[in-house]
Amino acid sequence: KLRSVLPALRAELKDEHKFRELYAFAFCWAREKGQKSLALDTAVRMWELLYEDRGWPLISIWCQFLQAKHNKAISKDTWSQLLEFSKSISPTLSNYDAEGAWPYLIDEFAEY
Amino acid sequence: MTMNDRKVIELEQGWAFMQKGITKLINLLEGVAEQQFNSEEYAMLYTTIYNMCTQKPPQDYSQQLYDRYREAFEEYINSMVMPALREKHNEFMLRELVQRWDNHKIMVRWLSRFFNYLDRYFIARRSLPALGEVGLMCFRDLVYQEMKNNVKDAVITLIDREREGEQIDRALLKNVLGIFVEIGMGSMEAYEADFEAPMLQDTAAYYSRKAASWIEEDSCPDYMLKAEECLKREKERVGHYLHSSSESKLLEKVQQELLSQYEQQLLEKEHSGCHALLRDDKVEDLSRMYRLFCRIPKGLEPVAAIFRMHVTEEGTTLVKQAEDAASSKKADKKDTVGVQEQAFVRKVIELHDKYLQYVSECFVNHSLFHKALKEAFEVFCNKGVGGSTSAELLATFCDNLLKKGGSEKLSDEAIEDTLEKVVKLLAYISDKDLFAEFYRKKLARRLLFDKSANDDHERSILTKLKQQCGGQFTSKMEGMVTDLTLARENQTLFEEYLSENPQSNPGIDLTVTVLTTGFWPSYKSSDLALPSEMVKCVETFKEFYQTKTKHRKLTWIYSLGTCNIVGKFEPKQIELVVTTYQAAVLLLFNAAERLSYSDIKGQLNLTDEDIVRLLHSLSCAKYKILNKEPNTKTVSGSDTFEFNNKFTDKMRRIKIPLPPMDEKKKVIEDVDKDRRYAIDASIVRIMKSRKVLPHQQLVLECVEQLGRMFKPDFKIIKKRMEDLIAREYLERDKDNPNMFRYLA
Repeated sequence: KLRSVLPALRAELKDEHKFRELYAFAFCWAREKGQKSLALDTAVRMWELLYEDRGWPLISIWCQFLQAKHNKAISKDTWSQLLEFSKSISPTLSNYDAEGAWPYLIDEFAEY
Repeated sequence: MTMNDRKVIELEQGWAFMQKGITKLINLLEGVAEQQFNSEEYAMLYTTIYNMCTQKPPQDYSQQLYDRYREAFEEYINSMVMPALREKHNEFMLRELVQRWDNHKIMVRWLSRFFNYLDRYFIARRSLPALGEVGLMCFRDLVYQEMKNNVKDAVITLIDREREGEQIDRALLKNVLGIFVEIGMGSMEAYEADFEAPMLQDTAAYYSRKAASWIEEDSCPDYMLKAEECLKREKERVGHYLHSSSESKLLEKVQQELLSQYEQQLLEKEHSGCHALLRDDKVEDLSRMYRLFCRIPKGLEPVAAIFRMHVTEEGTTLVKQAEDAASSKKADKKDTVGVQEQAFVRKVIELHDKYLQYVSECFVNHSLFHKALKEAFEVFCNKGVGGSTSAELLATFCDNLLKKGGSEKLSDEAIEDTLEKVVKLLAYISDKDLFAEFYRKKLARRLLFDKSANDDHERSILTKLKQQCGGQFTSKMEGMVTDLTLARENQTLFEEYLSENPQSNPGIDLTVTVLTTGFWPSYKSSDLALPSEMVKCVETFKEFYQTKTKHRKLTWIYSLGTCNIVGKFEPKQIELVVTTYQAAVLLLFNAAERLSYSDIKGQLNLTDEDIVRLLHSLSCAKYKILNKEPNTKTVSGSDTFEFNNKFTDKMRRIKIPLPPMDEKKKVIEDVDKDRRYAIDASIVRIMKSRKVLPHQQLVLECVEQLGRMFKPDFKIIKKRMEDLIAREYLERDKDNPNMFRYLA
């Protein structure tokens, strides 16, 4: 359903603020009723959708990593922190601080 | 003669009289034959001055007399003293100087007495220096200033000669240096600038040269001996002729040149440096090393570093040795802690004793070395051996000491002593909670199977552990010990109950030990299908227990029970001491001669793991109560078992041991679980009190809080934090994802 709405929103998506809101909303919207976390498959598809235009080079590796190593649902914290990660950390991970407050999963990803 | 009719003395007239006195004085000093001044002469001289100063102006000749007083010195010094001094050199010159100085002081003393009246009023009125001062200043300005460099050189030369082993005239030097001090007239400036500073420089150069050659030629101990000797001599030198204020500066220079400069090289000398000394147990040399290097700033740090490295090395070697021995063990014994590991713990204790002694004897209990020892031990004490962690090794070691028939046969005192040392080693282990869990498990075994050798020792080690690790550490263990005491009392009451209610008596002697769940390690309760004989026992006790307390739930742990069962074998009856499980197996054979593995399993309702162990102990071990078909060494699911009617033994009663299951994995699991709870609790506690905290700090505080029991892994802390976020105890700050907030 989101797919159909997205093209209309794409123009608005260029706006960082709006994207942030949409991104956060997407998590809550996509998860199953009564669940706290988002199923992995759904999460991957959501990410692929949302990041289609944004050009974050690591998105596919991220999804690959999750499916190979993690294989569990995605917490809200991980979801929201991923956005920060994709925005502030360079693709070469040169400015990544392993001692920082990144969620465990993202640390693992960095090692991967 | 009264004031009024005193005749006025003219200046030249009066002076001529004074001059005679001065000349006489000089003659006396020069050794020319003269009579000493008598009191009349003295009085006359004094009075002349007095008169000339109390005459009415313009015959008040105070100023002129004051000037001529000074000139008298100047004249004498220039005409006689200096020439004499200039003629002489070195030691002779020094002697001459001392003589002249003494003379000068005498001259000053006498002349100032003659001219004393000037001191009384004239100098104060005009704020002029006193006569004594004037006299000294003359010497200073005319003699000292010119001679000081030569004197200084001569003295230093003599000092250096004494350093080289020559005997010199110490009294002379003392006197000469006295001049430097006195010439300062209250301040030490002259001494310090004109003598001390150059002397220190020379000393530095001297020892620099010496050190440069010694460091090449001598071994570390020899060098240190020489250094110590030099310091001793220099200190003595101060006592003999230098001014006491020079001591610290002098020694500092020597230390600088001999020790500071070359510390690194000295300590690192290949075959005789610090490392070698430690290796060869050269206690005396090490003590010397401490004494020498504790004098220089930061001198002990390198020594402590080498010490720490050495101890770490020794310890790591022990670990490796034990590891090698362990890996060459037979495969089936791999999961148990064996003799090698016990020996390892012993050796670690010995190592600790050895180097603790070093710290207290060679290094005078200095905190740097205690710290080095601690750090060294922390490195290798946390390494496991043969698949077992050090925590487990220590716990097993204790178990051996405390149980009956343990591998160590020692006197009570020796055991106490060893326990004390083990507890000390515990301080170095970061996973203290793991030790606690292993210890608890083994304690449980000892208590429940009555394997504890000595109650006092058990209590004593708990006390020691409490002292070292706090009450929380030992509270559960103490609870366990208390439970047993209560159980004994309870048993008495149970037996009373039985005698009062004969109909409840199950017909079998039953002893029950009730354990308080929280204190004891967790045991899984099994679904053992109890033999009918035992069922009534359980029922009866339940009834009894209900009469005592209504609010408690009893869970039966059959895996911990023991049973005495009589085997009616053909040759003779034998009493078998077995575990409840084993008894259950054997009782099955009351109903059938032969049973298959699956029969047994089906009837007892236990796991394969348990069944195999049980059947093995009864059919493949020392005592074959059951015959197995096929008669192989291991039990498999297709075997059948038969009661061995023909079994016999010379004893009337035998114990059939059931080797315990390996608890290691379970213990580690339990501890991990507890740790997760502990970390959660700690994070929540911290956040509750701080409300907002950055990530780094939260982690640090968490590590600190938990450090007494274990070293939490950063990753695990992170995971727990995320879990707490998901459970809505915490949240990330909206603006700064590095900060966390407490959610009430």
